[in-house]
Amino acid sequence: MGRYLLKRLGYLVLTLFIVASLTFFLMKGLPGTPFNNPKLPAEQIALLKTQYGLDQPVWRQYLQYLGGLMRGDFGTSYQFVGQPVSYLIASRLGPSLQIGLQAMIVGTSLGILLGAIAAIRQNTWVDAVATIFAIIGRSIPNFVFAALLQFLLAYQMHLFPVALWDDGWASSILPTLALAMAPLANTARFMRTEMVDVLNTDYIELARAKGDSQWQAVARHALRNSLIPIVTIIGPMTVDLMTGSLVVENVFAIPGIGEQFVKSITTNDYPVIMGLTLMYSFALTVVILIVDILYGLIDPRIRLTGEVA
Amino acid sequence: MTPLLTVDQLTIDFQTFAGPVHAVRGVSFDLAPGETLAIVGESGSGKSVTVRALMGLLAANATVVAGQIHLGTTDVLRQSAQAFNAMRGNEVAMIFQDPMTSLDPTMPIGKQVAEPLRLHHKISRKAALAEAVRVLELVGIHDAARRLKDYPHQFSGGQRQRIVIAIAIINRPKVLIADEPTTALDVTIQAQIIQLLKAIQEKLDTAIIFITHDLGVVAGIADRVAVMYAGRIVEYGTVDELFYHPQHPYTWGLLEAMPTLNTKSKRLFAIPGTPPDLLAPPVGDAFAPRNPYAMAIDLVEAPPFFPVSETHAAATWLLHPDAPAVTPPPEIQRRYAQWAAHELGGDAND
Repeated sequence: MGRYLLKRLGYLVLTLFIVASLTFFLMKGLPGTPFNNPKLPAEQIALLKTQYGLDQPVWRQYLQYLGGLMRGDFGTSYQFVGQPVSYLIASRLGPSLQIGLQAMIVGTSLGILLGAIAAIRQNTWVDAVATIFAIIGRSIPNFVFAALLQFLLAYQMHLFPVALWDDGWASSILPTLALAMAPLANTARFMRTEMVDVLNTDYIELARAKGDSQWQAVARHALRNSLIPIVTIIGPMTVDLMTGSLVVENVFAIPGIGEQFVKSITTNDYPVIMGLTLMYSFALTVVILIVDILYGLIDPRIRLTGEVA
Repeated sequence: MTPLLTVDQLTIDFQTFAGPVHAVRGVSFDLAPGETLAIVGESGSGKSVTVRALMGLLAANATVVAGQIHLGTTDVLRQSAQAFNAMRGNEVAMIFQDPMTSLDPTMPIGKQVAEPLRLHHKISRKAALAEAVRVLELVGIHDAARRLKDYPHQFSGGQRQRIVIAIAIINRPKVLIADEPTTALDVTIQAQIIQLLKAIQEKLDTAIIFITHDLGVVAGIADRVAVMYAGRIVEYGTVDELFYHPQHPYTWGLLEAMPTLNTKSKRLFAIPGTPPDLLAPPVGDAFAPRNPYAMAIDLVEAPPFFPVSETHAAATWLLHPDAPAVTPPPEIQRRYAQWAAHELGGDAND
């Protein structure tokens, strides 16, 4: 296990290096500069460029950036003059992380429940309702949900704040729900398929032959076995959540990382783009690592050894 | 002796898009305490469906149209779902065909073996696991105490079937149903499992219903045999009666199709034709279209059981007093000769 983790850690660093390099050159290929305010005189732009080292050849800038990374220095923002990128990210991470985690927990647990019930009541109206719900959740974009929730629950029923991040936990509920729809629908769909398969296995029949009631057989034997493939989609779902939160944070005017990411791209704030991309990549690779470890915990047939890539 | 289990005129339909499939059409048999009854028949003859009705494990689209099952004084088919759960794995237990898939892959075997005990009795986890060790040792899992935390994939097919048997017998059921328990195993392992079932039966005095399509296995384990065809029992009797004095042409065909050490021809015998479509079972004897000895009446009316001895009966018009005498196939004549040679105290094993 130790050797396995060490190896995975090596891959993680390699992945981040590749992501950093690709993003750096792609970003430099974007049109425009950070200083495209038409009011700025040309001399001043040239001065700023020199100040931030943007007059250097791209390969030198690249090496300098990598050198900074080695020392843990992500640079400073152009847009918020003098603010270190690491500080900017840290101060904005809280709301995004909270909404993301809440949406993940709500989405997967409700999805598992919905999928399991649909499978157990296969081909009944319960199954049909759950399936329709999953299709809707999958096909309607989350910003539409966000607007719907704002209109119904906040504007009309006054249950939650319409937007902003100034009312404690209540502020996080609507964004969480909007963001949770996609993972909920995804999990429900996968769970139903998987559970239907598992319920038809011999070991469920054996569990029933032991004297398990239908629900006992589900709780003791079917659930855990159905969860194995669900673990797989946690990785892609995390990506969905990350990109989803970019939009949802904007809709709800939440001062999160996603909102900042969008802003940094439109303003060509190079160090912030780099820092956030690396942060997202890091989060994703860690999630994938956790998923692989979870696999071994849920399914005893999967052994984590140094041989597993 | 009063029978432990009575199945009376059991009739089961499957609802399909094409209409009801009459899978079991009036099956009756009984089972004495401690005896082994083999139910023999080809795929689709209704043998598995019959015992699943007894377990209350019929598929959702199957319905018991008629008939009764009594276990002791319990009316099995008319009990509540809770009563069924309390019966399953306790009074009646079942061993399945494929040991590679009948164990939960994500649960340690100790917990799986102890589960029926914990379900049906008030017993601590520790005591249940201790009993699991005892039963696992009984079925031949060595060093069971150390292997309780192992998972099914760490055992071979034969060992897994032993574990499945341990699960079935941990509550000392009165009736043990074995649904083709050796079909998925190597021949050498098959023999071991049969030996094990016999040993368990002696030790626990369990009655066994042994379902198989392999007549060779039947000779080794059964006291009595019932042959099923197209949802009906066509002949039943003791093992000796069925093997050496068979009366139904279908039983003849099965015995002919079983190669023995005496089989000389290069081509193995097979019963011509295919089983009937049970969506619309034929009028008369369902076996008639494949039966070289079929008579006109076979196509009109299904034959009743004609008794051959106190323990032996066959549903074929050939046994009717007015039926013409027929000459059975040579293989069956050879068996008749053996039957005549030592009618009493004959050994079933060739």
